[in-house]
Amino acid sequence: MGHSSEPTQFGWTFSLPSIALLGVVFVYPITLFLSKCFFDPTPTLEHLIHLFESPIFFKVLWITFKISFIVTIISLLIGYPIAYLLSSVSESARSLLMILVLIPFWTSLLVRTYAWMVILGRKGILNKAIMALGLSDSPIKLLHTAFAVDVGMVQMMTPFMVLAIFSVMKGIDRRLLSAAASLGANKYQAFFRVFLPLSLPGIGAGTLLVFIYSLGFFITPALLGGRKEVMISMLIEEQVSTLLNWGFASALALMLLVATLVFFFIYSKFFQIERT
Amino acid sequence: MKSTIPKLVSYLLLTVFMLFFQTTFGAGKKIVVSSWGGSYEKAFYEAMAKPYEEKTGVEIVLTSYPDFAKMKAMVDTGNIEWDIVDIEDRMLYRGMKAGLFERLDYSVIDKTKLIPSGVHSHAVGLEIWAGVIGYNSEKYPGNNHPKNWADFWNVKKFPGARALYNGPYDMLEIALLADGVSMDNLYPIDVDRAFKSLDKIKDHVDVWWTKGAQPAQLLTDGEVDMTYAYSGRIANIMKDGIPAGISFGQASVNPEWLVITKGSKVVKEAMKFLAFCAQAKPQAQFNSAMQYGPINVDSFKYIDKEVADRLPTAAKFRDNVWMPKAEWWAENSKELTERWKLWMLE
Repeated sequence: MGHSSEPTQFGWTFSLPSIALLGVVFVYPITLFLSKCFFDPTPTLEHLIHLFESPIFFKVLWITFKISFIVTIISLLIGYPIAYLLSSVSESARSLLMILVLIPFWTSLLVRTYAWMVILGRKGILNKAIMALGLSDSPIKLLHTAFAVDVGMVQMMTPFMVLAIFSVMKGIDRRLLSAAASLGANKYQAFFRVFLPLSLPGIGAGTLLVFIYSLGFFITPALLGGRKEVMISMLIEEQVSTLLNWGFASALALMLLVATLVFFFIYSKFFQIERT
Repeated sequence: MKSTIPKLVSYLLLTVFMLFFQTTFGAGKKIVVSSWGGSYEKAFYEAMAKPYEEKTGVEIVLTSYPDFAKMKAMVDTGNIEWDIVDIEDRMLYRGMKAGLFERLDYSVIDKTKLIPSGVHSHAVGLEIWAGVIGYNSEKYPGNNHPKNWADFWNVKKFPGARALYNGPYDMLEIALLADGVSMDNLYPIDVDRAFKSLDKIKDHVDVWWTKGAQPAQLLTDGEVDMTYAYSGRIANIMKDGIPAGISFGQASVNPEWLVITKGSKVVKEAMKFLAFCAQAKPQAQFNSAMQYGPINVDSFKYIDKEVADRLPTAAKFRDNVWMPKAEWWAENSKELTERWKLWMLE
C-alpha cells in the first residue's frame, strides 16, 4: 500500500501548480461561458429549447461527425503505413522521414489551407495539369467541395495519426514476428495476427485524437468547403461574433461538448483507453 | 537631517501628483480607433488620424479589426480598449439594442453639410459603400457585362462562374430585384418569394463567400467571373491592373459608421475627432483613396471629377441604387440567418 500511494501523492503535489493554472485560465472561463446557456440574459431554458426545436443544430452536428469520421478513416489508412515505415527503418533514415512528417505539422494551418486553395482552384495547379494533359476541356470543380475539405483536413490530421501510432509501434518487439515466422506463419499472417493487434492501442489513441480534433475544425471547412460543408464551430462563431447571441452560442458549445463526451465514453468502452 | 525629511516628503508628493496627473489627464491625449486594416486603415490614417495628430497633438492609435464580440465584452467588463470603432450599418442597430455606444453630441459635430443617411443619434457616417456586381472584364468585355441582378440571374445570356455572399443580407433583396420587384418595393421583404428566386440561381453559384476581401481575391484568381462585392474592394484591384469591372446597376448603398464605445474614458476628445472626420476635406481625401462615397456634400469640391464619377454616391448612379433597411433587418436577422443556413444545406 505504502509503496503504491507514495509516488501518486508525489505526482499530485507536483501537478498542483499546473492544475491550478488550468483551473484559472481554462476551467473557469469555459464554465462561465457555458453557464450563459442557462443565464443569458436571465435564468432561461430558451436557448436549449430553441436548439432542439430548430433542425439546424442536428443537421450541422451530423455533417460535423460525418466529415470528422471520413477524415479519421483516411488519416488512419495513410498514417498507419507511414508509422510502420518509420518504426522499421534505421535510426538515420527515421530522423529524415520524421522531418518530412513534422514540417507540415509545424506549418501554420492557415498557410496550408491557402496552399490547397492554390492547388485545387479553377485555375490552380491541378486543373492546369489536367487540361494540359487533355483529360478535360474545362476546369473541374475541386475547390469549395466536400472533397477539398476532406483533402485539406486529412493533410492537417495525418501527422497526429502518424505520431500516435508510431509511439506504440516503436515499442513492439520485432522478434515476435520472427517467432511467428518460425512457428510457420507467413508474412501476412505474422502482420495481421501478431503486429496489428499489438499496434491497436496506437490506432485507438490516434483515431480518438484525430476525430475529436476534427470536430472543432473551423478555418479549413470555411475556406475550402462549399455551401454544404458547415461544421458546428462555424455556427458557433457566427452566433458569437455576428449575431451577438452568446446564449445560443453557449448552448451550441455545450451540446458539442456533450456529444464529444458521449462519443469518448462509447469509444473508451471499445478500445479500453485507460489501459493504453 | 531637518531639511532632508521635508525634501523627501515633497519629492514623494510630487511623484504621487505626477502619477495622478498622468492617469487623469494624460489619458486624454490618446484615442484608440478600431478599423479594418490594410489599404483601408492606411487611407484612414493618411486622411484623418495623421492630420488630426499634427493639428491637435492628440495621439490616434489605430488597431484592427472591429470585432463585435470583443466590443460587447469590453462594455460588459468596463475595460474599454477601443474608444472609437468603425462599424457596418447592421451592427449599428444590433449594437444599439445591446447598448454599446455613447450618444453623440451634434453641437460638437457639425451635421449641416452631412447627408441625412450619414447622421444617427449614436453614430456618424464615415463613408457610403455599395454592394455591386464585380465582374471579369476580359470575360465580359466592353459594354457586354451584367448590368443588374436579372442579368446576374440570367445564366444563358451570361455564362460563367458566379459567387454570392453567404448570408441573407442583400441577397434576399437582390433575389427580389432579379425576380422583377422594383427598388422602392423591397420592404417589407417577401421572404418566400426571395428564396424561390434564389432557388433558381443556387446551383449556378460556385462560391458562397463570407469575408469582404474574398470577392476581389476570387476575381483576381479567376475563380469566378462575376460576384456580388463591395465596390471599394473591386476598385482597389482595378487600380492594380486586374481585369475587373464594377456594375453599379441596382447596387445597394450602405453607410459605414464611426461610434464611440460606451464607457470610453475619452468621450469628449473622441467626439472632437469624429467632428474632424466628418469635415469635407478629410472626407474627400479618405473617400477618393478608397473610392467610396463621402457623407459630407462639400467633399465633392475636393475630389477629381474623374474619381467622383466612379464613387457610389455619384449623381449618375443615384436613380439606380437602393438603401437596405437596417431596422427591418434588426428585427428579422436572427430568424432569417437560420433559415438561410438551412436553405444552404438543402
